[in-house]
Amino acid sequence: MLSYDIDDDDTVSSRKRALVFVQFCTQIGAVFSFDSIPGLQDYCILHRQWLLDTITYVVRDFKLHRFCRDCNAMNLNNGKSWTAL
Amino acid sequence: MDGPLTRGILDLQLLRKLWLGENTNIDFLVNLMVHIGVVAILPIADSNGFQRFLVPAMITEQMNVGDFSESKVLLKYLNITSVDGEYRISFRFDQDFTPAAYYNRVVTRLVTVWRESYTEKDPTILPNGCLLSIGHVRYVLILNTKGDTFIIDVLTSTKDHNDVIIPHVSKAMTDINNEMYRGNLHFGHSGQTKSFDLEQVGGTNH
Repeated sequence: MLSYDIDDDDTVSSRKRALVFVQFCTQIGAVFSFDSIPGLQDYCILHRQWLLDTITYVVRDFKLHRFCRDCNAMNLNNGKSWTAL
Repeated sequence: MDGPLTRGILDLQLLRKLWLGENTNIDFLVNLMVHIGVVAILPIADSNGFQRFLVPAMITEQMNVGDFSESKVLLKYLNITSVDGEYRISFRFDQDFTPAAYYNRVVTRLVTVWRESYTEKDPTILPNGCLLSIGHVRYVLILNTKGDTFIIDVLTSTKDHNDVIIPHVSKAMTDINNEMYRGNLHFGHSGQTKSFDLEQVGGTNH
């Protein structure tokens, strides 16, 4: 994931150019960007699989798909957090 | 099913364990997951003060819809003694295939938009349904996906409550359809409700 942080002393046109570039990359499918989502405008995702993998850590069929990190997660709060999910 | 499930709840501590190594990206990821309707932020923190999230997609069990409609949990929540006291509006989807995630998105949207309704009690997610509220007005969503059928029923205990709830549910459904599915899902509603025109929010009256 990339956050494009343009310094305050940069001109407005620098920011516009960056946004146009990111929008172009989004249109050709090179990156994910979120210019219409409040709070996420300054981010874009370079590696789409990372996003899918990350969401999959939370939303999955736990009977079919297990990860090593689940062991630590299952013991959290004596298992209460895991059970609640 | 006599007692409510308390599942489908994710706390921030557990999220940090599952998203190991993503500490700097957690705010971004949570924001994104709220936006795409995977989770809704709950107003009540856990006993350690950590933020909690509702994740309807985690409830994958199914039960007979008829059994659910008559379940004690549902009747008790609506404060009615039998199904005869229910007011029901059914949203029926026309196409053969409706994405299962759509219903989950409707639930998270309703919880997110009416977050202040859950400052004292969490929404309850059940197989095939959920117990929600807008202010003091309680309502139940029931999902029926048998065969090609995709119906979302909205149940309340009085007609007045029904008239309050239906426009909000319909708006959430229409907004999600437009934002996530480019308006490709076509649905209409059947049942009695007061002077409510679904066409105003993008659907059709059956």
